[in-house]
Amino acid sequence: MRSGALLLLLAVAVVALFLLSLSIGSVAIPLRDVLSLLGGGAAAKATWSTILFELRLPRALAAALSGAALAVAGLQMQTLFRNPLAGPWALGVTAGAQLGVALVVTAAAAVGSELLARLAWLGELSLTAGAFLGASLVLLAVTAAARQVSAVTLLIVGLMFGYLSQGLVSLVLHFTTETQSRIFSNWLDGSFGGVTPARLGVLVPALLAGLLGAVLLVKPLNALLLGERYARSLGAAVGGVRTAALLGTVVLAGTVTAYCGAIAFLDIAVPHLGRGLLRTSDHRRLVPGVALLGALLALGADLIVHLPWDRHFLHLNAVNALVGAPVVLWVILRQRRGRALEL
Amino acid sequence: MRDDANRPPLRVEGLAVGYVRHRRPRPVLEGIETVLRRGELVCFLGPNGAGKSTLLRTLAGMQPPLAGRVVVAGEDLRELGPRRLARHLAVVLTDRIVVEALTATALVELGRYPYTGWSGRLAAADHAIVQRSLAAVGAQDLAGRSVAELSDGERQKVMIARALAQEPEVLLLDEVTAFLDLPHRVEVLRILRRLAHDEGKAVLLSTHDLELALRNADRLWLLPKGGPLVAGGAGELIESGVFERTFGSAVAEMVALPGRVS
Repeated sequence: MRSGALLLLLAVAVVALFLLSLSIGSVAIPLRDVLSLLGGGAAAKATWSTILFELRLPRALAAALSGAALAVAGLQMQTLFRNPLAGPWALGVTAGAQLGVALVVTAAAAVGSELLARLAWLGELSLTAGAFLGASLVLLAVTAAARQVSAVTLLIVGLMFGYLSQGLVSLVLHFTTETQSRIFSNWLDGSFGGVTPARLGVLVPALLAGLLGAVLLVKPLNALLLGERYARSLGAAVGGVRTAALLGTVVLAGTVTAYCGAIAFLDIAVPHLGRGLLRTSDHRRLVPGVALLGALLALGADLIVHLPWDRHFLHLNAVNALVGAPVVLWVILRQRRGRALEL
Repeated sequence: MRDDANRPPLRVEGLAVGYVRHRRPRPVLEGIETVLRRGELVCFLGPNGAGKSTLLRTLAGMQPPLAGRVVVAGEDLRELGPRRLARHLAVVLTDRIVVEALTATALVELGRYPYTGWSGRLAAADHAIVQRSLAAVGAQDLAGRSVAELSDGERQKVMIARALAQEPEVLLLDEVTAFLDLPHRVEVLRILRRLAHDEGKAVLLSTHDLELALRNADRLWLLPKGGPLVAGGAGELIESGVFERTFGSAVAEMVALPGRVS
């Protein structure tokens, strides 16, 4: 069973990279101590425990789950829209979520941050709610537009929408206090570093729920490979499946964006890498495969950014672009050889 | 009470098809009464715009009827539900299939959709039916090929195999020969005839291919602009003037040439 073995290999690689990213950083923690701390034991240095549990573990968990989430969200959108260039970042859903978050932050600043600080969990929830709302609105617009325009046009519209939203976010944050906008500068660039242990309490369950939703939809997603009319004729409840998949996309992309900002390229590129690697379009294989591959790439990119460099110049999205942009170019250019999606 | 075996797999009673626009029904065709019987290949002919596709979509449950009912397996289509309908009726359309990394076998396996559980996992019996379906259209040699690399003709054969994997009594095909070259058109018609005669399917094919329809169909459905739908053998339809009413006198004369119709 070839694809089964590949999935296992991917899983092993994710675990290995996960442990590696707990160990490597400006302060190196030996793997033995990482494992001992994770097992509830002690480490050679007391500070290592703090670094591991307060910083690196939340960050690595956020990276792995966000990578999986964005890749699976991209896969769902590509199948749903029958568009190989779809994905929450590529089509501006992420940008919508970002705008939603920025508006919540500004509103909070206007209401008064002391009140918000006292109701910290409410603040987290309102951030997520803002992201969901923004993501939903864009996704509705994209869904309507997807029937009217070609895949490439939709991609360009999505990217433009992303820029527009980025401009609006900057504008909104411009009018908040300086400390607040500084907190958000990291988030604007896209980073897994801002995820605190408390935030994992929202991030982990939300993303796991979204991923589980995708697993439950594998059968109708497979039918949708043939288009909506065929899927319906096979007995799939297409309307319900569409709604569920779009909702899942909002939860996955919205949550990631609320806590990690706009993470580029993983959504659009990883599904293609998954199909290429597993040589199938079967979602029973692709959903786990793409999730693992997304986790692997996100952990890898995050690790590259946070190697103990002398200077911190590399951004997460720059690394993502180095992997993702060639994949997207390959998908677009290959159309010319007649395998064709319409331009 | 009629025996199950004698019941026509598809019956149409007082059917009106069309659209609802601004909350008002806009019928394209009304008062349709007809049946599809087990073991017959029916070719559905008519000029563009007469409402062939609308009727076909309504028969397939893709569009609600404005009045009357479509009865499949003894039940009103609307009460049958999509999953049970898919076990009795399968469609082949001209919709383009744009999938990468999907083999012909995997495509045909999707035909088992109405029988499988939540994940769509196939049991041994399902795999056997998939193989049989591929064999029934002579597509065994395409099994491992990627759907994206198949020619139009090969792809239509695989799509018919996918429909067969649903184990339907009724097979509805919309213009599936439209983009095929002559040898493939002939082959598809031969496959459909065999499915009707040897496997007892009720097969309805809408087509513009008069010549092939006349040579292969057991019965014809003729649909002139504005209706009504008339069903019958080629000879009687020509004699009764329905052919002329549907396609005009030039076409009627052509099909009536001696030796053309047996």
